Amino acid sequence: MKRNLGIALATLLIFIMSVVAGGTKASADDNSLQKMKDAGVLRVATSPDYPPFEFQATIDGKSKDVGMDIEIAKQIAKDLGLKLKVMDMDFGSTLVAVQTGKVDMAITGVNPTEARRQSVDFSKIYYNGGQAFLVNKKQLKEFNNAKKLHGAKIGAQTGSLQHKLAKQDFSDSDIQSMDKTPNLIFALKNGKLDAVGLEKPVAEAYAANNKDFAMIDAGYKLDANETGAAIAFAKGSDSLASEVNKSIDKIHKNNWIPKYLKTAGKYMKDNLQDTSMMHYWKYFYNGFLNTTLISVLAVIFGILLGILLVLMKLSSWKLLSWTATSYIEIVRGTPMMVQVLLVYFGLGAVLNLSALVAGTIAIALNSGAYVAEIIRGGINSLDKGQNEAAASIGLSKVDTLRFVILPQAFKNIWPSLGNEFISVVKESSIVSIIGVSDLIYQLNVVRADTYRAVAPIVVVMAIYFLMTFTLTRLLNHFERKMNND
Amino acid sequence: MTKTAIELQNVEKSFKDNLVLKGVSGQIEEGKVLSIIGPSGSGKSTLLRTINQLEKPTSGGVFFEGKNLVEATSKELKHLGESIGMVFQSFNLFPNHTVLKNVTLGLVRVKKMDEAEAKKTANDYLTKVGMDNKADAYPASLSGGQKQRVAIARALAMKPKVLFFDEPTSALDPENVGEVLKVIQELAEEKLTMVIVTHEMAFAKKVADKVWFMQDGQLVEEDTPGVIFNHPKHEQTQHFIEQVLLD
Repeated sequence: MKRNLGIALATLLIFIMSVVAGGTKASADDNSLQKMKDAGVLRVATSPDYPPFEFQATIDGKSKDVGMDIEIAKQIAKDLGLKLKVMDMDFGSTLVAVQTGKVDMAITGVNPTEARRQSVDFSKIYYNGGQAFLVNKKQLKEFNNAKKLHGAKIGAQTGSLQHKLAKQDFSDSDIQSMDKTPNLIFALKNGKLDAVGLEKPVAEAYAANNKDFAMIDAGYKLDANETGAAIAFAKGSDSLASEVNKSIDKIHKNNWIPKYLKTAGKYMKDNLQDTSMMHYWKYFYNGFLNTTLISVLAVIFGILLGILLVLMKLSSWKLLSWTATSYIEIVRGTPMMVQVLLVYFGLGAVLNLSALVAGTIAIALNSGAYVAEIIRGGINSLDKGQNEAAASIGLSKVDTLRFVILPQAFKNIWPSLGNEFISVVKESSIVSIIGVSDLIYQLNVVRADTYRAVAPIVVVMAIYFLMTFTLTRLLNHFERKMNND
Repeated sequence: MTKTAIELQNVEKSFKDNLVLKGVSGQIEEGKVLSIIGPSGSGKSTLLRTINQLEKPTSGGVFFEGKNLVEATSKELKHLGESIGMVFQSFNLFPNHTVLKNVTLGLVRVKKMDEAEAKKTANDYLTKVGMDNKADAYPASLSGGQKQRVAIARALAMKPKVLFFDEPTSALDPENVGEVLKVIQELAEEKLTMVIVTHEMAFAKKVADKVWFMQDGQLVEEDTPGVIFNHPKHEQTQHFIEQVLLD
């Protein structure tokens, strides 16, 4: 099942934090159920890019989460007499959300592996679909049986169970991994791969919805705990877990799972009826709004932080200039992705920041360091006669910066500053890893919904280009205006 | 009997291992014009800059109004900016401000005048240097001579007790030199204490009350322009004057 770098890092961070905090709390005072009943709401985290488990469909003009897991969540909410609130986030963030209490449970096709049991509690297994391979229909004669895949090119999602299993059982094959399932499917279609290892219902869905593909059984011998799907809770939520298990029993007794899958299949069909990008404009539009919001805020706070850092650097107080220099060096010397994860899971866990706020803060903190260096370069490029002239009429250091140095520096550095703003727009895409629904996040949702690998990328690329192109024009306009002064 | 405005005691200045000023002593007299001449690299400009503390002297004392500026705190030196004005070779106008704002900036931020009073004062000084008609222009649109006249107005507006000129006409086209020298001459007639580092020998001869000849970081000879230019006592001075007059 889907697992990725995000969750590996998240687990690591949670592990570090729980070690720092002295381990998780004892379950003696389990009031998980009572707290939810008081609030009247069941908050559920999910990552809707995994049909038929969970994905998005347009219902009455609005995009909503649907799929088997959502149907199960609805039943649980009904049994508990609570209102269901589904919260979308990146798969890697769902278990973290459970641990930090942002949600009551996560239902997103999670395998209750031993490693995950260290940090969260799980319900009973509610579904066990088994493992399969997706192959090209025209190669079905060649690969009609999983055993024939020895020596072939097999793809799987990076770090997933399928990846691990393929490496174990097909050590003589060429195993390739990619981050996103749609990319694997595209590689299969292009003949770069002979087979893709998938959860059975997922492979089934692809085979049913695309006449180029066929499914074959993987034939792995597996422990149900490693392969089935279960619902995750925070450690010690025993009262909630036992209620949820009752609901799962009820669902199994009534054999409702096939019904749920059928409903999911109907939505998938609806999605596939019109896979034109126009039909999905709202997804792109929402992604555009979030990307714009994050970029604008990050640029504004980045400039303010940059100015502050430069002032600190110019300060005669050593501690201030040393702090600013260290900050700039650390930010410039580490990947932005790591910074985003640290702000969200580190700072965000203490201050309970949403992914959007944490992502914006991280990008502003990053941009500030670069802006500071650009401003410093602008100041250094000025004739030192400007400082001397200001001193000769008795201007204070602050006034000299404010009225003489900074206005000129800003004019000189405007082109470099413009480049930095454009970088912020493009690099803000990194926040999708913590589940902010920016353009990249929406791109993955649309790819999962439509089974189209390329068209959504082209659309998102065009949107990014329009954004940066408009920004470039705007910056040029201001540059001309300044030069006319 | 003239009063001393600034007294130098054995001022030395070195940049790393390079000794640029090798112990200069002397008095700058109040209400008089002192002209400093000498070959390039003799330390004339550095001397000016060590007096108004743009450069810290390596040793020695600079006494102004009874205080040794070398030992003054940065807070005390802030006040100095108002008392000793400076006109630079390359003008150093603020290119991001209009001519008027170049002059009012110090009045508003340092002298704490209100905007209207500052504008009136600035206009008075711009009129004095003949630049009032360019008050709203930006420095980039001015000729070198015009820029230097604005720079003089900017310095004068702060009502300095002493005004320094660091080669004020060296960066100018020949046709612009006259307009700047005329302004300086008018100031001399008003008995403003001035120190002028210059290569314009004829001008120095005309306006200066006293001339310092510097060579190799030392004050070689000081006297009236009449003596320095016509009957210099030192061989080095004679040599320099002869060379300059040949050009």
